[in-house]
Amino acid sequence: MTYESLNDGGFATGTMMGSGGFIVLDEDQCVVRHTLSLARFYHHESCGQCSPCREGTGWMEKVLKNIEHGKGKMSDIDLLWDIQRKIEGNTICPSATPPHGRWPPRSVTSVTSSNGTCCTPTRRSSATSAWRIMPTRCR
Amino acid sequence: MAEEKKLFKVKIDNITVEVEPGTTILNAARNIGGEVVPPAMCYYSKLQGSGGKCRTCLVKVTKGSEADPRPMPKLVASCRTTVMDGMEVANITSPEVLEARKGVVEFLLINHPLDCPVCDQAGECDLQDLSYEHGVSGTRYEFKRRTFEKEDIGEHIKLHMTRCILCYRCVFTADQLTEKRQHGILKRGDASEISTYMRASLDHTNFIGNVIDVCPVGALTDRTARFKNRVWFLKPVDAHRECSDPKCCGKVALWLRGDEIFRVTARKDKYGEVEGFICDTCRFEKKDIKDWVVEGPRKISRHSVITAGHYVGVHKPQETVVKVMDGRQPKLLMDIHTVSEVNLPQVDLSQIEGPAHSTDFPKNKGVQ
Repeated sequence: MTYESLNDGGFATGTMMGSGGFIVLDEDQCVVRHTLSLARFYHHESCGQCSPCREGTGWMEKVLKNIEHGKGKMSDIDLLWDIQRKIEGNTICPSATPPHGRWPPRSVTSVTSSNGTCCTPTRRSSATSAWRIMPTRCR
Repeated sequence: MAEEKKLFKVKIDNITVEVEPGTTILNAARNIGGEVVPPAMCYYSKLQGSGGKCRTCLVKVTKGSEADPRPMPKLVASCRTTVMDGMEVANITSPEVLEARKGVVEFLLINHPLDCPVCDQAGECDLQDLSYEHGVSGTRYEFKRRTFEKEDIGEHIKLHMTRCILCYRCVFTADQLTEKRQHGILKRGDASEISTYMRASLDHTNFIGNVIDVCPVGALTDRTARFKNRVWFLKPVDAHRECSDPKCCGKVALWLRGDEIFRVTARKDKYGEVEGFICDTCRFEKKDIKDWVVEGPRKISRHSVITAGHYVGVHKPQETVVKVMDGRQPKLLMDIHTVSEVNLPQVDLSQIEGPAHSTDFPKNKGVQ
């Protein structure tokens, strides 16, 4: 994987490399919880000047919190995608522009999309109390 | 010899307009007028530095300029982007823009209480118009909305922070019209709020009342007029007076019912912006019709709810029928009483006791 391979603004792959940092998770990690953690971070970091980010990041966090607590709905995944699409590129700050990659909602939704099948509310594993990545379904 | 000023040619939604260099896309669109004007919630042409916050005026620049025809990579805020020569802009012709605007309206509304039925701004609210024109009817937000305590900031102004959309207009107003600003945005993110730190009162200056006029929603309202009447029951008239304050333009709109003044505001144009700022003495203290020189009824867009019940432009015919017919009396082709028993001239309904009955109208009377 190189910067160039993901350099199309994330249109083909739905993701991007950002500033080059990686978080590696093994298959026992809860994707939703990590995503929620990201969403909470971006909600907290929002400066509040322009409306899409001020209102949208908090909304995404609440939706993810719902999923995390087992109250999610199938439509939440589409909702997260739609909120992301409506924040993306419509804000003041350049960090919200895809090539810079420090883009809060994109990093949130690219996780839910690549693992959309296993992050649905019905797939909660009771043993570990976590959303499991199931390689067979996520391929 | 002074060089002739070159005008920039801009195409907005395929309508070409020539504007001076340095004009923003929004103002170029306002030069055209009509539907191509993007809505603006935070931009205010009379306030320096306003705009860029609400993102409702996003447009797509399909061609950067004549020299560099590449399109801009993302949607731009038309109120803060200046035009280039040969620029091509898509506003209502771009589905992408309409979709983004729909999203922005949704974002603005998710934490708005939607208490229009009890809100004083209802009927002249920019957010109401915006969501009606550009929003969707439902909401997908199912969480608790952000709320704040109502606050009296000063003797005349009520702050209802829950309704605020954080456009920053009132902050710029206080900065640019008054000597010292005493309120601003506290905190950040979705916790940010307009407030006077330590609950100070905003009565220190004679121009702070203008924050009520610039507020696009019902977050800042006039305490002397709150809950007195709905705007559509009042009749706006233009009036003026000699104001001793040199900064005050003295030209106002009075909101009347009969001869009683319910509210005094500055005159707002079709974009919801005041034509001239007025002082607090005019706004809050001159509530007697004798203080003012009334110029005449104010013209309100017929699409506004304020025009409900005001028949503007009704022309009564000057001539009577007799005059039109050169002095001849109109001739009736048929007298209704020759064929109908109802409402005979000799039967006075008000003289009949109780409800009128068929026996009150003699059978076959009048029918030959």
